[in-house]
Formats: sequence, structure tokens, C-alpha cells
Amino acid sequence: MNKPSSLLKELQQLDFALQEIALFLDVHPDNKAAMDCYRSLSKLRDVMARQVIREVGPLTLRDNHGHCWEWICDPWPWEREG
Amino acid sequence: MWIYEKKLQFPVNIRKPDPAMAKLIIAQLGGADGEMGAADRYLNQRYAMPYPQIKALLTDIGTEEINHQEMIAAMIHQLLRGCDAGAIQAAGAADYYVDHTTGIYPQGANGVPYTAAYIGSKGDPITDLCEDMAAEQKARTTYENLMRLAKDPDVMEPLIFLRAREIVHFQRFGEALEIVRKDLCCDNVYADNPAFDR
Repeated sequence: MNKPSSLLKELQQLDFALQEIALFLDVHPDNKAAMDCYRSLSKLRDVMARQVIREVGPLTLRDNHGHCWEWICDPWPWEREG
Repeated sequence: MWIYEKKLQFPVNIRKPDPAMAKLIIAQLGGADGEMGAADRYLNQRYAMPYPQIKALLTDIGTEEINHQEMIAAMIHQLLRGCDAGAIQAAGAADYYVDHTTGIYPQGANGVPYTAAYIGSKGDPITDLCEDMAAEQKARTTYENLMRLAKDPDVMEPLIFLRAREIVHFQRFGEALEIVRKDLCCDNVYADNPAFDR
């Protein structure tokens, strides 16, 4: 299966932004600005993740929505071609 | 619990094999200051940590370190991909090849297998966070050493990302230590161990 790498890259970027904000919130849980940022990123992320699952394939073994077990399909993340 | 997401945290696309570089980068997988140690350290420390913010931080950074393990393994896999035995030998990686072919085995750059002896988990918040801050700096230095040796931009990009993460993690652990300090007796921060005495 040919996976469009640009969609996955956008999700990687969004998830990284979320990770950064989450680590900050872990030790500054009362920071309102960070919380607002997290909430908007989180909404964007949900939309992007659904699109990736639809167009690229399941992100986790819990979101294999088709009738075939696509989860096993190549390439796996450490194999992506440059 | 953990669930796996089928993507790398940051892309790894190395087009040119380099078994010699693979043997060095493996330091950040199974070496004393590598990502495997980081993940095991933080994920094991979190059980004794009494502060919810820091249980979260250790869980979240520990989980991110597993992502980094995966990136390093991807780099090694791609650096060894497509090499024949002759090319591996010419690059000075025949000793690794003999025991592991082009499989991934967690060891340091010196061939010493990964061990829990590389991590500390002392059940004391101050001790554990100081260990964590030191660990992040050691990892940063290791990445900088690798960056001085890497010539290929495909190799440099993930190294630059991983090095930057060490600096951010160090910052967060410092902030966590501040949370602990503020909670402790100001006359004597060592009056008790919040993980054991309370």
C-alpha cells in the first residue's frame, strides 16, 4: 500500500506540538495559556488523525476500520523510504 | 498501559548505508546514556513518586524515550540496510555483524550489552530528579559528540531533534525539582523522604 507521506508528516508535527504542551502542562498544570493552546491543538489533531486513518491506514491496532486486517501492512515506520 | 502508534515521533529517512556510523549511533540505544536507559529510568521511578505532576512527567517523558529508542533503532536499521558482508567488514562493523547480522541488539558503542546497572531508581524524589537531570545532560553530550562525527544530512536531522529534546527534558525535570522543593520543609529539605516517610 502506498502511503502519502505528507499527511503522516503533518500528524507527526501536530503530535509533537501536543507532546511539548503536555510536558509543560505536567509541571505547570494551572497555566491557562498552555491549556488553551492544548485544547485547540487537540481539536486539530483529532481531525488530522481521522483523515490519516481513512487515507493512510490504521494508526493503532484499535482503528482498523475496514474489512481487511490492514494493520499488518508494510511499510512499518522504521522502513519508510527516503 | 501502552499502545503503539504506527509512526515515528520524527522522520528517519537515511538513503546512504553506513555501518561504521551505525556502530556509533547504537550508543544511544543500549549505551549508558542512551534512550533505553532513559525510558527504563523514568518509567520505573514513577511508581515511588508521590507528586501527581511528576508521576505524569515521568510517565510522559519515559514514553517519549521509548519513541526515541524506536528512532535510533530505525537509524541503525537504515544505516545497515542493503550492505553485504564485505561492505560491513570494510566499515569495521564485522564484529557486530557476526553476532547480530543486521539485526538490532541493544549495546553501547563499545559493544557492552545494555544493563539496568545504567539506571538509578532510588525511591526518593530529590535523588531521582537529580539523576534524571544528569541523565539528560549526558545524553545531550553524547548526541553532540555524534553530531561532530556525522556527515550525512539524513543522519544529522534526527540527531538534531533528539539532542534538542534532551535540553527540554532537562528543563522540565528542573521545574519538577522546584515543585518538590516548595513542598518540603524550608529549614531542612532533607527532613524526610516524601516517598517513604509520609
